[in-house]
Amino acid sequence: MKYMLLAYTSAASWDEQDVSAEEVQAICRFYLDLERELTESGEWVSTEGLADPGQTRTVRKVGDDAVVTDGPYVDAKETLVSFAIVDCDTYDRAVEIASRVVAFTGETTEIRPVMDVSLDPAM
Amino acid sequence: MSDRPELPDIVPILRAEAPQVLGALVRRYGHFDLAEDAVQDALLAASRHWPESGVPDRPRAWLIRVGSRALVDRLRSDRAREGREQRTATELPADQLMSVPADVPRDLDRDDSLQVLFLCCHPALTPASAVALTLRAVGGLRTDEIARAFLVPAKTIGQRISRAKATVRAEPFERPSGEDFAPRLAAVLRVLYLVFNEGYVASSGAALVRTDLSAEAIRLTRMLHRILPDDGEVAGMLALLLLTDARRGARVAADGSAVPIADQDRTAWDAALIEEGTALVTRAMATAPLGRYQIQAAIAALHDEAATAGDTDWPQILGLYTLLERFDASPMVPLNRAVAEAMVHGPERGLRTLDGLEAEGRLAGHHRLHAVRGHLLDQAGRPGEAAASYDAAAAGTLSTPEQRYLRRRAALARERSR
Repeated sequence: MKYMLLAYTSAASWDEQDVSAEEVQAICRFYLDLERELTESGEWVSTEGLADPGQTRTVRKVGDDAVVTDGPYVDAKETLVSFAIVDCDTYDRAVEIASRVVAFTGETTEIRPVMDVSLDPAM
Repeated sequence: MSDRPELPDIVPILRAEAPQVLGALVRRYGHFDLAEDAVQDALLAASRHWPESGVPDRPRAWLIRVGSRALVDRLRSDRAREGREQRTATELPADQLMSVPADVPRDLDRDDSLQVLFLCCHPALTPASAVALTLRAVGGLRTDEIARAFLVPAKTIGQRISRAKATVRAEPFERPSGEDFAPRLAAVLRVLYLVFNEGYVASSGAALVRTDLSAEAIRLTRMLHRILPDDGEVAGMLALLLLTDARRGARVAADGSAVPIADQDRTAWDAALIEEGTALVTRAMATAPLGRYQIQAAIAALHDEAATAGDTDWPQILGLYTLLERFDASPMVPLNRAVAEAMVHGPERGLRTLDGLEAEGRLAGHHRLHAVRGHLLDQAGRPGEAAASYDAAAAGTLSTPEQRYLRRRAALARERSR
């Protein structure tokens, strides 16, 4: 089963972030280690960290056209900072992985099961 | 497949020989984990050489010879790393350090595929690891082909395979005997069913991109049935897969939604597969001890044999589900029995069974429980409640085609309830 883990951080802490700070470095190392560990356990599918929310663009349908705008620069309390897709045996295992991310980074993490095209043959 | 220049008929030969070659290497040298890598080397070498040189007269002997050489190389470098080359030299038969004989007749008559399969489906492995290892070591698939089938990176699958090999490395390479045999064979059948399940994809587009795991599961089960022709459960599993696969062409509508058996276009079913599956399960039930896969196959055969949905022999299906509960403790069995009860005794009876199941709590909130309830409520002329159940089921499923189907049923039921 594949699960997507979506990690959120407060917009304020993003702005204040000093990339050279030991704390930030430690989080980067944590994610690298986690990726290595999940690859070794045969559960890793994909992980990415996202750029500053200030670089967001949004594409919307206006009439028959797709229109691009900068932003939104909303003052959202929490903003998406990274995502991961893992392939593990149970939902509980996905929760366990997410719990470690949360414990280390403090980022609130949302878990979404991924849809599949396969059919239950018994249906 | 693009990086393997190959004649069209080379791949099936290689894939069929893979477990035999691995069995021969392990029997001779041990070292299942390294031997498995050596077989991959040999398959790769064959796919490079055979398109030019032609398929050798005795492909298995060729593969064993090249595989042996690769294994000896791997053993040497492995030992060298450990600084124990000296010991290796004394352990290996002297002829292996020189050149390998041109033909290797002793190993050719033996079929060790079954032992390979037992090791790959060892109960100590997680289902995901057993599936990956089986597809490579028995199915002869490359890691990247397996990765494509599961839509995960190749290195993740590679890791699952090497972890699995490390887990079973110390296990004996032999056919389980006595009391061990039945549970070990059951573990093998479960893995084969998982492979089939995983490959039972909805759209032909997806099937084109992903390695066809359903076909692979059937091929491996055929192989197992050839080795154990009198085992009723192996025959039952093969029949079940064939009878299910026979309906493949009719199971998804043009809009990508799943089509339940009752609504499928029966002219799109594969008559040859139905005939083969039915004959297999009929023979097995007449000659071997009964088991869950034979019963499931018999149920599938009753569905497949009915000329129209209305001709389905529901009383017999109900009897078989009742029987199946003795062999299979899964709550899915009484859930399916409720459907048969509704067809035989009316929807209220089926709904009572669902209430009982829900009260037991084993299936509480499961989307299949909601889906079946929706059907039975529909059947009972209660479309408003049916729509709510279909919606709950649609929210709970992780299968896109099933979700589309359930949403449509919900919309239709809502319309009727107005």
